[in-house]
Amino acid sequence: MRLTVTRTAPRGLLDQVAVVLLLGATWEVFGRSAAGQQANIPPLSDSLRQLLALTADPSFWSALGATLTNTGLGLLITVLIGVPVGLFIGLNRKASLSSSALIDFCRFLPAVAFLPLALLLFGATRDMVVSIVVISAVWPMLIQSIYATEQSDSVLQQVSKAFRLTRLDVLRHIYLPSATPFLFTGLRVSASIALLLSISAEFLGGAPGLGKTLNEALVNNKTETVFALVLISGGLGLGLNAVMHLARRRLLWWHPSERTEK
Amino acid sequence: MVQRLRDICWQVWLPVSLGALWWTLSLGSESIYFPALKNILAEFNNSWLFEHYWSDALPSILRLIAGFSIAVLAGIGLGVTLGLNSRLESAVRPVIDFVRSTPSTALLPLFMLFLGTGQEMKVAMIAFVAIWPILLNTVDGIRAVEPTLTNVAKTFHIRKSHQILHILLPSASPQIFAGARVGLAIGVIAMVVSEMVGRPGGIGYFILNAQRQFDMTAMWGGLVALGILGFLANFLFKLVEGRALTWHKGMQNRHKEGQS
Repeated sequence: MRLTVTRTAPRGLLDQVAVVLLLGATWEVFGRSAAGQQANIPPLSDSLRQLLALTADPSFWSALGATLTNTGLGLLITVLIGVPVGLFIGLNRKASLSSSALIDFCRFLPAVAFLPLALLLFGATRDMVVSIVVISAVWPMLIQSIYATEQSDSVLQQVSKAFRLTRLDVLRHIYLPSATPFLFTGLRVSASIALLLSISAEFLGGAPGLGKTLNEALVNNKTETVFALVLISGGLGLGLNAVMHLARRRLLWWHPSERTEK
Repeated sequence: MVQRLRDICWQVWLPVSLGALWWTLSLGSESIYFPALKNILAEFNNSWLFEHYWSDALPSILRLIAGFSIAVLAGIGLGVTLGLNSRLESAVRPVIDFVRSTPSTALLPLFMLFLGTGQEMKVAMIAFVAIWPILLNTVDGIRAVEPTLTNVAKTFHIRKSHQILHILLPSASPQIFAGARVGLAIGVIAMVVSEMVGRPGGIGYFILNAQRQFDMTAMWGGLVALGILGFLANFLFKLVEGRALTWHKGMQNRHKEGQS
């Protein structure tokens, strides 16, 4: 008989920390080397110091707030448009045939290409950023909503017909529960697109936000600030993913995909 | 037969009527922002076929192909390495997640600092942005290969390189193609963005420049060209995917028939 010994920390964690430390050390060394100086790359320590300095700067916080507001507002409008329209199209065969060509064309049109037009119409304002965010994030949401309606169990549909459930009941008890995981996937994708386009529109268009701060730092050759902002944006992206992950655990706790052993 | 015709009618009426609506509504248009569709198409005909095609569209397309190819090769290569070596993969996971979650526009300044504003920056940007979905999907695909297949390969002492080429990659190819499709779409976005901030040249620059000069008809023409480019790129990709994954579609159809 053999007794197993339990470990106190997951084995992978050491490896992960080692990789991060290794990369950090490489960055630091490169930044201090002659090649790094020539390429104007600041070492990690300077960037981190600048990051701390930024957190003390109120204009940074207002820029961050602007970016988050743009993303959130754009995402809200995206959901309000994308989910109902998507559900309608998915449930209605004629509607889905009518719109398939249009959706297939528009989903691949890069929304950033409309940035010059939006700049002319709205100027370098929040409206411009939100409009670009909505144009780009609505397609994944729409497509996932349409996809979601196709996923419901045919047996359940037949049961609902046998019991002559009303349209509303069918929607509430059959479509919505089976659709919610897919809607959530759409929300996750749309959320990352919303953040990306938010920062892009601010960067390219000059609307207030992290993107504009980044552009200013780049133009003024403040490379430590540039790197600090890149790290912060990465953190934002990670944070968004983490929020979505937690939200999924909360809202979809009943779904098999959340309840199976990982 | 009649049902097919009816379906085609339903598919066609909306785009056609929207197009006609746009045409008629904008016919007498005085607005600078929304010139008449007639003028846009005329301008498109004049300049993009085929003058601007050589000067703006072709460089963009070539950059896209170059960047995307790099992304596919590197993505599959790295994906296979990480997929086979789970310890390495879990060690590198946090870093990959961090870099992947960073909005790619935030990485643009990095590329501009390292590579300037020329061709290399644009191609590198496209490659860097497009590699992540391909990489992650390859890792997932390799991991999800039926253990039976790998066990049989081991029993027959099949060489590792042959295992990868003939067993693992074909088995993972549906996932890889799905990742590549996403990569292509965001690669196009990266192409446009990098051209907007980089040195002159390309469709993205053309659109931005036309707006700066208030030549709205040219700008809309550029948008039309970009839309066609994106649509064609995905259409071609779907064709390739369809040929390569015929076995997969057959398997899926059989499963569907089995279920219903």
